[in-house]
Amino acid sequence: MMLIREIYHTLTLADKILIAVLTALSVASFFLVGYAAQAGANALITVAGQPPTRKSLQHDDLFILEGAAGRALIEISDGSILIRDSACPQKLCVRQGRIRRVGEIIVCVPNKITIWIEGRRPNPFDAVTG
Amino acid sequence: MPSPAERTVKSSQPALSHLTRLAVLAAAGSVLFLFESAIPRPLPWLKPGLSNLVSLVALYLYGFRSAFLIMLLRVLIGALILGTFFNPGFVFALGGGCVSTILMGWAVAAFRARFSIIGVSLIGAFSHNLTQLLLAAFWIANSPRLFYLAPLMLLSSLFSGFLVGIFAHYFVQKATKLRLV
Repeated sequence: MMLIREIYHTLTLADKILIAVLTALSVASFFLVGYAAQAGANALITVAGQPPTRKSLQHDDLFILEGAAGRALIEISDGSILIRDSACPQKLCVRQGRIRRVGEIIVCVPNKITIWIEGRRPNPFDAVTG
Repeated sequence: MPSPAERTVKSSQPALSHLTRLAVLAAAGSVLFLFESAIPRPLPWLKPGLSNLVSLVALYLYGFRSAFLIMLLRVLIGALILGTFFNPGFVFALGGGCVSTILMGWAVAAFRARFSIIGVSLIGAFSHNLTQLLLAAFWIANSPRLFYLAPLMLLSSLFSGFLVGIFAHYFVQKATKLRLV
């Protein structure tokens, strides 16, 4: 209680305005990032280090992948992709749920399955130096 | 109002004691810097900026030049101990440290007592994290995708800035009362 009172008396008007502005900025950034995040066009699926297969997120699909630890049931619906079920022990990949935005990724370590969302327009450059 | 240190130096007391105090603060800053390196975080180089505490205390007790010097020392010593000299972590720490110390100094100088030490700490924490994020997004990783981390970092700097401000408030209060400065 003492501490809270002391802090309250230490804070000036400018402090309180600053805190309000910074809080608003932090909260706004949550929405901004969510808004700016581009919905992905394709899912790149890699199994056990083999070349990735590309699946469009526009067409609903349900298929089985043969992973390193057993089968995995993959579902594409609503412009998103998820691992419905998997033969891996902890099912962490199943618990990661749906992904739909560019750059989001699901990894199943025991099954060696990686699902990565890519955008409509891949970056034409490998790197930019300046 | 001259800072206590400037008064000390002017009033024929040996500059040596000032130097010693700066050294102690720099050492404390290095320890905090190393401590926060051990805290797990979303990206290997991004830090909450707890070691800002020392720059902040130095800013209030000894003025801007001392604060900046201590910040440089803590970043250099920390990098030498961690073995991260001149790698991205070092660049982040240096960039964030410079920008936040300069902004905190500016806030104290330009607004006098408008902001309390907690407000100044918040300014430091925010500018520290924003600088690191911008450096990471546009230079090191060169990928705007890193801005996904912005909400997390801004929110964390709100908490850490407030906490560091409270610590600094008590530190300065006690140190002044006990005439340690």
